[in-house]
Amino acid sequence: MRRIAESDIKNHVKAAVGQLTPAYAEAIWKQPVEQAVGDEWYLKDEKRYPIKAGKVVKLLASVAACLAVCFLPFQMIDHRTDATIYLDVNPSVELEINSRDKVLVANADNADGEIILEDMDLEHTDLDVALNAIIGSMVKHGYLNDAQKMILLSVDSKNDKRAEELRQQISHELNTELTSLLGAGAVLDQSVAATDDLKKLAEQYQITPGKALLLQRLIEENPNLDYAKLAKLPMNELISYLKQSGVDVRNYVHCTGDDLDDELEDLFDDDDEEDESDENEEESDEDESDEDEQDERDEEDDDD
Amino acid sequence: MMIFAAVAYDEPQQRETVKIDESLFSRIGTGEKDAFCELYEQISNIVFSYALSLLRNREDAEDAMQETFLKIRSAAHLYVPMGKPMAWIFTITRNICLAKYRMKKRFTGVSVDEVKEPLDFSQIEDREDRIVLETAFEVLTEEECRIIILHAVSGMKHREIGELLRLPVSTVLSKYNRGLKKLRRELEEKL
Repeated sequence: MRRIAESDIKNHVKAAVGQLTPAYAEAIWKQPVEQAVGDEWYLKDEKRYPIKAGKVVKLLASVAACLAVCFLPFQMIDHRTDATIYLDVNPSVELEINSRDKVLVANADNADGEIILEDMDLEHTDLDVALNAIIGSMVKHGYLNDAQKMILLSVDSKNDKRAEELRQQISHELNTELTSLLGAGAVLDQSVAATDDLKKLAEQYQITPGKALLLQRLIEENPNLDYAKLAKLPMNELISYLKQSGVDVRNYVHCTGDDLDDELEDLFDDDDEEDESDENEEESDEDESDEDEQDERDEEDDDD
Repeated sequence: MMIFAAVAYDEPQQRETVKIDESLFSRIGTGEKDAFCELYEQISNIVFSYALSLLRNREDAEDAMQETFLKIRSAAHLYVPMGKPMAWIFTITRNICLAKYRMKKRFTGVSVDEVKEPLDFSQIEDREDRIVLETAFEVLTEEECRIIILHAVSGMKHREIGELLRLPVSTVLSKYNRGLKKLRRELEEKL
């Protein structure tokens, strides 16, 4: 079976439409036209769309279904949180889902997360659709791009088996999504048990409890690292910084996806030839990194 | 309706990806054929693809595209440069397609979505191009198909497509990605 890239599909569609589009410019120009005065029907910005017969039936069926749902006993709808999914890139967001993988709550853990979730009503959507929308939004807003394509996924569920299944399933989906949108990607994943203390710590540093736990474990074994400094780094920069500090993140989280090893190897190999002076320069460059990141996001947004 | 249009145009303007020289409209309004041909060359495939995705019939889409350009000629002198010429053009195309839809239904009593005859793409010479477009119309929902085709043909951002189709950007992204997955799955079997 042949693997087809998104760009190939787009190129085929564009070429196909190009072959179908007639060259009528000359013929249209020869036809007489009356000058419009401004109130013509075709200039009106109607909000209505063609409502098709089938759609009327579907619309009525939907209304009936909604009414039926309203009258169902409340207990029949599974409102219990079965698992919580945490995502950290730099935007940090979390999704509470029920046992049927429906999103019950979508929350942002920092300002970037709010940008990602802005205008998105993810409640009651399927988890895969919600993840799809979130990753798409991160790409659109430039948080994920060719230079930043690592995601930390953390799954919290009281049922260990369920947590493990979700972790594997979601990391696979995220990896597929990243590959589809960016050509490659890297998903670091872990199961977590978000205690109240961890949640407070996460809130303090505006990250998810998943990232809070990862940093806590890193600091425990590497006391020279600074929690606050690590907390504000996007995932790519965090891993790069850890590498420079002699810490291999793969000792702390799972690495999912065919491309992940390559991504990490690249990242871990990139700096092998760099000398210590680069590290010093990086220290001084950190203050400028926010501006650079924003510029990159703006450029990426233009390329979207 | 005009109030709505005015409010819409008062929003902070972001330039469209499809960069059209807005002076073309005033030049078309004064009868400059070169300006019209330049505009046609630049956007005819976008207008055609939008009409095709709405009407799902090649002949009807060709008619709608012709009519759109006739109306652009008629109203070019009224165009006010606001940085969003594609939105103005899409309004015209959408209204024309809507009129065609109503007309067809009135005379045949059959709505577009009830006519499930396959689209004729035989004039596309390249086999793979033809299969991709046929498959898109076969397996995707109307909105998925519209979003993917507009994005591929025009290069418009999902945000712009959302504005033009009046859909939230999250919906556009979701439908785009889901549609792409479906299309890829089918095409990997066919190609």
